[in-house]
Parts: sequence; C-alpha cells; structure tokens
Amino acid sequence: MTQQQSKIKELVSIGIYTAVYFLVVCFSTALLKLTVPIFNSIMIPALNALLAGIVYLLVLDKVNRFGALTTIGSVTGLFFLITGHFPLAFVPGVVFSLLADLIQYKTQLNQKVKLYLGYTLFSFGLTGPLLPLWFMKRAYINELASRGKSQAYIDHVFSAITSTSFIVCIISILISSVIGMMIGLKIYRKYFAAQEGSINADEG
Amino acid sequence: MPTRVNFDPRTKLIIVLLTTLIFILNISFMIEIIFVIFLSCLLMLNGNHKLGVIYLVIFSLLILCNLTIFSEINDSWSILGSFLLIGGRRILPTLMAATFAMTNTHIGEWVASLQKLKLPFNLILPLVIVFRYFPTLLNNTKAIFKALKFRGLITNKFELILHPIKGLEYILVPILVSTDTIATELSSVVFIRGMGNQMPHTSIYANRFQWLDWLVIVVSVLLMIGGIVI
Repeated sequence: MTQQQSKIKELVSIGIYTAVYFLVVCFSTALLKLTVPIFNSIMIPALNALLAGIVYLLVLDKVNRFGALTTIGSVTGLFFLITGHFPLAFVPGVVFSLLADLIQYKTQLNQKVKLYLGYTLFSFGLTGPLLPLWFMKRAYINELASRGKSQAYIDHVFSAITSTSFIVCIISILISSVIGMMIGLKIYRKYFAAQEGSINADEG
Repeated sequence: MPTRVNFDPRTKLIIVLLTTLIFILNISFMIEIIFVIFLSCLLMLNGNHKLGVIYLVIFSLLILCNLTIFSEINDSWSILGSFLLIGGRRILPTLMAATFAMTNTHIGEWVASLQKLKLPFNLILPLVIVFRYFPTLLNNTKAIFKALKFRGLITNKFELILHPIKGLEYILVPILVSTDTIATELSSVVFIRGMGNQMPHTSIYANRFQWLDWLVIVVSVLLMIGGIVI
C-alpha cells in the first residue's frame, strides 16, 4: 500500500509542476502579447525557455524517475488538446519531452551536459503552437492563387518570412534555453540546493 | 429559454479534433461558412447563446473586411493585413470548438470519459490535478503580489516586467517552496477518495452516446468529406 501511496504522490507532484509550468507559459504568452503586436507566437518558446529553468530542475529533483518529463509534456499537450487552442501541439510536446527524458536517464553523459541538452530539447516541446502559422500560410497562398497572382510572386512574398522566422525561432530557443538553465541553476543553488541536493551540477 | 442539451465529452473531443482537421485541409469557402454556422448552433444548444451569436458576428465581420478593404493585394501593408484577417478567420472555428468543449462540462464527466477512452491512469491523474490546482495557483500568485507590495519590494506589477529575472525569483520561489506541502495534502485527498484503486471506477455521470451525439458527429464528418470533395 505504501508503494502505491508514494506513486500517487509522485503523480500529484507531476500534476502540480505541470500547473506551475503552465503558469509560466501563460505569463510569457501574456507578456509577449502585450509588448510585441504581431507574430509574437514565434517568440513564446524562447521566452518560456528563459523563465522555466527552475521548474525543470525541481521536477528532476523531486520526481527523480524516468517518465516524469514525458508525463509533463503529454499532460501539457492534452491540456492544449482539450482547450483546443493548439491541438497539434500534442505531438511535439510528447516527442521532445520523451527525448529529454531519454537524455536525462538513459545516457552516460556528464551531468552538466545532460541538464543543458535535456532542457533545450524540452523547450522545443512548446513549438507545437507555432504549427498553425504554417497552415494559415497555406490558406493564404491558396487565396492569392485564386486571385490570379503568379507563383513567382507568391514565392517572393513568402521566401523571406518562412525561412528567416524559422531560423530565428530555433536559434532563439537554443540561446535562451542555455541562459534559462543558468538562471535556473543560480536560483536552485540559492534556495533549494541545501534542502535537496540531488542535482549536482557544480563545476567539476 | 433555458433549453440546454448535455453532450457527451467524447463528442466534444471528436468535434475539436474534426475542427482541427478542417483547419488543416483547405476546404471550400461555402463549406467553411456552413461549418461555422453549425458550430454556433452547437454552442447555442450547449447553453452559451450569447457566445454563439458573438462568434458569428466576428466571423461575418472578418469576411466583410476581407472582401472590402483588402480586395486588392499589392503593397506590403495589405499583404500583412489580409494575412492576419485570413489567419484569424481560419483560427476562429478552432476557438469555437474549444469554447464548446470547455464550457458546461463538469470535470468529473471528463474523467469518466477519459477513463472510457482507456487513457492510462498516469496521465489522467496529473491532468485532473492541473485542472484542480490551477485556480488555487492563480489565487496564490495574487496573494504573493499583495505580500510583495505590503513589504515594499515592488510598487506595481509592471516593475516585474522591467526586471523579469528578479520578478521570477520573487514569484516562482514561494510557489515552488509551497508545492511540497500541497503535493502531500492533495495526494492524501486522492488516496482517501480512492482514485488510486486499480479496479474500474464508477461514476455518477452516465456519459452515454445519445441520438443527438451521433447526429452531430455524422453531420460534421459529412461536412468534412464534402469539404474535401468539392
């Protein structure tokens, strides 16, 4: 019975950390919606990666078991699915959090490398909400084509938007997740390391 | 007119998924209009009369703007404007389906339906916790804001946006410290309510498909097929 109790406690903790993670997502979305007028959804994963490092670290600390990160990614995806805002966000959410889990628990890398790499991959899970942009683009192209614009013109309009925004998105996620992990580690050492201390990411 | 039909949560889920599919496939304009009207009828049946009308008005305004203001696309401003308009028109059905799914469905109904769909318990329990804990979390955040103001650490909320890292530390650290206690309390609640029981759970919500559920699903599938063929 006690084994089942501890399992339930783990699942409840995962739920609570998912809620906190969701709060951070909401905060960064609201911040960007207020400051950047258009195409702000491209920057959401990056800003979120900047802020959520400490949540990721505490999940690793409290629920130190393979599957915790995957559950968080899937639950976030399910929440998206039911609320219907970004139903396709389910797929990247599950895939990238599973990859992060594999790196954290199934590889023999240096602890520090694991943290940074896993967190970067985990941050990519939020790219799901960007997928609608691509589909909107296709609808727009159809509309242009039906108005008799030539294919060359359409290509010209969209070549710059897609490739640059895609690269900017990926690079910004990479940079901000590294910085976010640094901030997270700093906060972790200041407040939580004395209590728990199962993550040992100090130099060495 | 207090008429309200109770839809099965599974029907709502199917409608959300179908709407996404329609959003991805490029359906013809006629079918799109019919589908939006269909969705607003569903919203009205579900009890949100006001919202159904508001969504319809927004949709027709978007179409009107698209046909009048941006009928000529030549400079970059009209490209941007019409892109946003068409994008907004495309996203609107998904938002309507989400409103349809989220409103007037008790969380117990969702749990019963998700269990009928054979979703693993390891996913359902965290999801329920998210639904249950999120309002509490928002309240806690407000309380933390008050405490910070009381102690003179911040004067208004915009200060946190100017110093995001400091704001993060002030807001997130108290929340994360309190999670441990809350996790213990909630897990004992879960345990006492017998949610960890391995046997199949019973529910007070019947959640059976009625003829209206079948009708809604058949109509939406037919609309989607029609959208692909035409």
